[in-house]
Amino acid sequence: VGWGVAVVEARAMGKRYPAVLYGVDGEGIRRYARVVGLDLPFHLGRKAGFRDIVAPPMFAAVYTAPAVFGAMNDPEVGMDILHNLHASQRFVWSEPVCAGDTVFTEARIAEIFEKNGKGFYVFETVSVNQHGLETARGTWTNIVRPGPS
Amino acid sequence: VKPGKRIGPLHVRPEGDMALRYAEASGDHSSVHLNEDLARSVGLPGVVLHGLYSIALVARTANEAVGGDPRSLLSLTVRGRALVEPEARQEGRRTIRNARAELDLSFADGGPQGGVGLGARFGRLTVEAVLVGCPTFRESRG
Repeated sequence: VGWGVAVVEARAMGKRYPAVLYGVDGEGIRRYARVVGLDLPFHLGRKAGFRDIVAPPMFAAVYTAPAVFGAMNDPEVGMDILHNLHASQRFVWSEPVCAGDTVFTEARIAEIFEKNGKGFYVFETVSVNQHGLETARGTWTNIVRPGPS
Repeated sequence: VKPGKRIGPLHVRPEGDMALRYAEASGDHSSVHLNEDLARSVGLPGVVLHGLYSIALVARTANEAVGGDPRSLLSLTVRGRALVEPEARQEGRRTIRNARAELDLSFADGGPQGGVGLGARFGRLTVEAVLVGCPTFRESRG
């Protein structure tokens, strides 16, 4: 068994995907907030100045994930998901996301390249709520290690 | 909060079932986080915690430093440095290396009491979140 070079196909670069909808509910926000240790009242049940229970900023990773996973699993992208590592993440936030919101996320493949035998896959997401207001922009960088061959 | 200030470190000891709990809370049920045999078969030492869990801790550290209002955090960039295994896996290991994440952050000017808007000026900060007691390993092991 040797360790080869990750196979990278860059033809899907620039590809855009249709918006994926995510319905935000209070229980989902509460569960996420507790798991990451954010026991703040406005995440757990009180409105406290927000329209409803408000999501922690990194909940953006949850509501944008279905759009990103869709792109990652696109056969044209050809990612070896099992050898994938989530290497870096950027988010830029605007409108807060609250229970009862519907968030629409569009994903785009920003970059695909090979470096040091590893495959780099960079996805960008733009999310807007039901009023058309942007909630977050994300940049997801994934690295695929060469697998045993 | 001033540019260049170090926030934290936040010390967290992820429980043995944290990968499962994060999977349920986030919807990411990828096998490398839940299936021991499969994780080993792809060259990992065992199941590893979700990178986004660690990143969430970094975001939490940053947000708590300015009072916790989710509107205070305007942007965040995290580069993962190491994989993190749940606590249950560390027994019997000698080397314990902390996972660090360094990031660029921007907050709404004035912190949680300040307004949030596109016109707000951003401060740049270096923040660290240190995961305590979590063994890690280097990605390139030959």
